[in-house]
Amino acid sequence: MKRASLFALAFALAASPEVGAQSLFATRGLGVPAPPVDARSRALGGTGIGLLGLNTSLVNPADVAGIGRRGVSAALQPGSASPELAGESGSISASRFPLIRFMYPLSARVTASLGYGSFLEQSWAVELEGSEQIGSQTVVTRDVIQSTGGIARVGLGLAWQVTPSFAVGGAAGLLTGNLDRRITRSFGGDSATSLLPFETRLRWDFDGTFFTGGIRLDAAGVARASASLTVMPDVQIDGVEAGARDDQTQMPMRLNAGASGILSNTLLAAAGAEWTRGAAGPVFEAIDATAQQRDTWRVGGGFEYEGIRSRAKSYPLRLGASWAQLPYYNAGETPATEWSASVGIGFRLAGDEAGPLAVADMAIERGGRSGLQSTALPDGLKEPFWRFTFSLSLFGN
Amino acid sequence: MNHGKRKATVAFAAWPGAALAMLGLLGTACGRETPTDVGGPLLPGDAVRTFEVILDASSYLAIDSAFSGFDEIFGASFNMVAQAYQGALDAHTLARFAIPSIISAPDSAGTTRNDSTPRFIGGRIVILLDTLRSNGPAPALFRAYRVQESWHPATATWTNRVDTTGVRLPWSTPGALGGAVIDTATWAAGVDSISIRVDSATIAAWADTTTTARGAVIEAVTGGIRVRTVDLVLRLEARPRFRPDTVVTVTSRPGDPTFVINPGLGTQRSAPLIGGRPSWRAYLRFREGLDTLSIPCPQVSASCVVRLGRATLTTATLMLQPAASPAGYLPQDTFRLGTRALLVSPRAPLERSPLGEAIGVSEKLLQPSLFLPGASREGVEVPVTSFVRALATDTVPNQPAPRWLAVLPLIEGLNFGVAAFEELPRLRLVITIANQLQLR
Repeated sequence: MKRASLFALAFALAASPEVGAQSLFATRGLGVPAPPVDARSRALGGTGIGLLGLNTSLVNPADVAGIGRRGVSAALQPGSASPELAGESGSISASRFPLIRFMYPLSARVTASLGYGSFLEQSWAVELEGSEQIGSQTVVTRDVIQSTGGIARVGLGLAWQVTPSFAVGGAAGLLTGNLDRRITRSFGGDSATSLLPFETRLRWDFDGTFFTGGIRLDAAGVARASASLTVMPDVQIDGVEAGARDDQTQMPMRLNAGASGILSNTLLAAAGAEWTRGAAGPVFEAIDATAQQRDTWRVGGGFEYEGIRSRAKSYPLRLGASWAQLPYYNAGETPATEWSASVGIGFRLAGDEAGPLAVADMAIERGGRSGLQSTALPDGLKEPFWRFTFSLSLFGN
Repeated sequence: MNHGKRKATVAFAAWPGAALAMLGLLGTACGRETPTDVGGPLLPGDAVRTFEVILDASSYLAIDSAFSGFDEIFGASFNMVAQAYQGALDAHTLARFAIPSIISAPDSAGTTRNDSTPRFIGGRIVILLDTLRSNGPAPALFRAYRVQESWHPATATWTNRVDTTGVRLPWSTPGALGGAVIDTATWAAGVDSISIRVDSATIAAWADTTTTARGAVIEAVTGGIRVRTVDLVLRLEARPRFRPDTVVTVTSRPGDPTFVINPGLGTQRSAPLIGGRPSWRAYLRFREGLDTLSIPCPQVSASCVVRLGRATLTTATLMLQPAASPAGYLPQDTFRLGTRALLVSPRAPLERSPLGEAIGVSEKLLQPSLFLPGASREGVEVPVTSFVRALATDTVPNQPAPRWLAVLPLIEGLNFGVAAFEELPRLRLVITIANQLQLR
């Protein structure tokens, strides 16, 4: 367990500092939702709830009930996208850190967990070439507008295996994070040496809380249903640097539900959905605010085939798909949606009858986001993407 | 239970491979990303604007003045001879040659011997000219006179032969003239030197080291000329006592050559004068509260006004408007202007204040013709960005940013002639603002 914890820590430290441009859809509101789910969940439709077997996603605190070993799970999510806008296309790529979760059984029935997971991703960067008339000179300009940051959730959860087929869970924690928006301008041409580059930045801290309650029902070990409800009071947005103004925003109530069942000795099916409600309208309270948010649906599902095994190891193959409404857009724009199709594989590297000891999973998704059509941009923004998710779970006695 | 523990140990032995693979993926996934050039239409237009503002002197300047006295004439690497140059400037070069008391020469056997009583039969003053930095007609006549009064090379001026603290002795004839004519010589076009014959009587007079009333003063006879000398030597012709049939040449350089000029330019002016020898500097004092200066920015919007202290200065340049140099003082060569902070203290007069850090250098090489009377003149800009930035963001208590600025040649003292500029230079600011970063 000691080695496992150290590894997990190294994993977290190495992964968390660098987050690049994630999506141009993050230019709207508070960004793009980034569910705190592991690679197995990603491969099975991304809803991260109600899965038979090990599910370390942070969606439902009851889903870790019955884990009898101390463990840690972490995921990494590199990806790339090719935004298409106004007849032009580009490319962006970045890595995200969806979750790290520590699990600790307090008794045979109660498992505590501490989790850090992604929630809203706000990283993007755009480069603009232009020119400016300065006196009698026309000067070439290169602006880079960069937004780095996001909101994450840090929470402590408890899961109680009330009966072998029924578990409840609760989690409470903080919504935390920051956002750094930076503009740099450099000048080209003959005047480049005399015109100093320009840089300015604003920075905000996000501060909120969340409370999640969940239940899980198992039926004879062949089916599982799970549901959770998350409520989040307003998130405070505190400007902390260079004139960044304070604001606050409403977060919607979030209802997640999912189920999975064993269809045969080697085949499992899973499906789930997320519904958010109660915060539709302007995102910010500022008088010049233009960002809007809406109630959204996220649905997904998939199949898991466990026919490939060698001695104590198994290598489940997964196939899934998901569809989601993105919450944020600007007034005058159409809201955006996201879809993805996924394949994945798991590596149950070690385990025994009491449960897994080392599990690695990966998922590959091909998908796309589209929306934000407006009068000025009738075709809106399209963003086909590749997304890779890797997760590793380690347990000790 | 033991069985289970053993299994767990086996499991831990199995996952390092997977762990290493994950770490490898981390390494490749966590690189810094570059921005995309798609996405501009998603952002508000004109998120960043850069614009120019030109401030009149009354907006930013409290005082401007010019002072002379930096890099005195004495010690210059050149000397000047001028006659009514631009109808105004006269300059004479003064030199005191040392006549050697011992000379060495080969005797009839070819052995080098010293002669402590040489007989000087004559000589020549050879003046090497910097023809590229000389102005005026050629051929031209030059004349050398004996200096008939004692004089002090370090302080001699057109009117005074000695001008030290507490002692001021005038020449009986200004310009160190009045002595006997040594000789007259012609400077021919295309020739870079002038040779003036010196007779034995003059050399004998110069050999008398008991008096300082000796030396040569060189003037131009031809009017409208100004030449710059870069070397001055006396080539003596001597006959050694041990070999009177042989003439040997001995070279002597003056220890402290100098030149005197008329008219001088004084020591202080209100309009900027920059450069020359003695060197001039323009001093500007920026007004208090520059950070509160309101800058209109109609390029951004009709109602846009930014406080200088809150704006980002992309560049600031002092806009100097050249004027005709004082008659006779046209700069001899191209030069650049530089700006430096001036560290003013109440314990020292302003003109003696030490220079602080270098601020900027003019991009343009300034041509002498810019300062001719009647010339068409483009403005000259000298960068002062870091200086104005410091003033506009002067927020460190008890450590005020320097408020005085000196404008001077990039290298002082190399150029005779001064650059003149109109009073009250303007200040050009290029400001960049970003106004679309807020969360909205």
